[in-house]
Amino acid sequence: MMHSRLQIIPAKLPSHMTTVRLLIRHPMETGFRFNVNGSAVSKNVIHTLTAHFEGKQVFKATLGSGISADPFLEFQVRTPHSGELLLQWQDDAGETGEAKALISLSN
Amino acid sequence: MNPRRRLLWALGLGWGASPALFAQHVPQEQLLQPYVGFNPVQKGRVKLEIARLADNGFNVPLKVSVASPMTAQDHVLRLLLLSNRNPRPLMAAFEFGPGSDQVLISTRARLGGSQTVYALAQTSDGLWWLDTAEVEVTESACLDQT
Repeated sequence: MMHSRLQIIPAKLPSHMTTVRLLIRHPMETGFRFNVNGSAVSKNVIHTLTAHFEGKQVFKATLGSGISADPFLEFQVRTPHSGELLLQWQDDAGETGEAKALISLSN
Repeated sequence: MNPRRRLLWALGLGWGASPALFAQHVPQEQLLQPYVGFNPVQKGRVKLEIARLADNGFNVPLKVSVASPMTAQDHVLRLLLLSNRNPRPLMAAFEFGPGSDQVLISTRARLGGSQTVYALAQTSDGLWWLDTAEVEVTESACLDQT
């Protein structure tokens, strides 16, 4: 289980957008580095990250070695009603992580 | 010129030729072609905000937005972040669905030296839109091979 922090700024009105900020603790190994013994450190990056709102995919990111270690991502989703936002990601080592948040529109 | 130096020149490894062995700026057409094919790319709609000077290439904050109403008829399909100097040019690709709102993304990139960063977006009418930003990187993120 990867450590992550998720911050949600919920929409003020149903027509407004919800801001999602996600920070994941991950080395994002490029595969170009060598360890002290001189052997190559294998590439290990979070390659796919998806966001589902109420079971429907609303956002997908394909990341590469060009994204910094401990990747940070901020994006917008449309939340016409209250519901659950589920973020899932997977790295090259096969490790997965997820974060979820309940978005409630109070108005 | 000593014999060793002369041998290096003969092998094309002299000073003049040496940059060719290392990281180079990829020309724009060559960089975009794998993604857009031979379709035209226009400036506009995409806005890439990134500091002109980055002290450290390991962590360069950037912000991209695409002007689009994001309706079923007119929305952004994908957004690509490309680097013309990194060993792998595609830094990140984002895909949007009908549930996506306004395209406004912030993230942090890893840059292997001073270069131009490209933000390339495809809208649902099939057109490609581009914005570029020059970045000076004092300390490259590639310390080993480039």
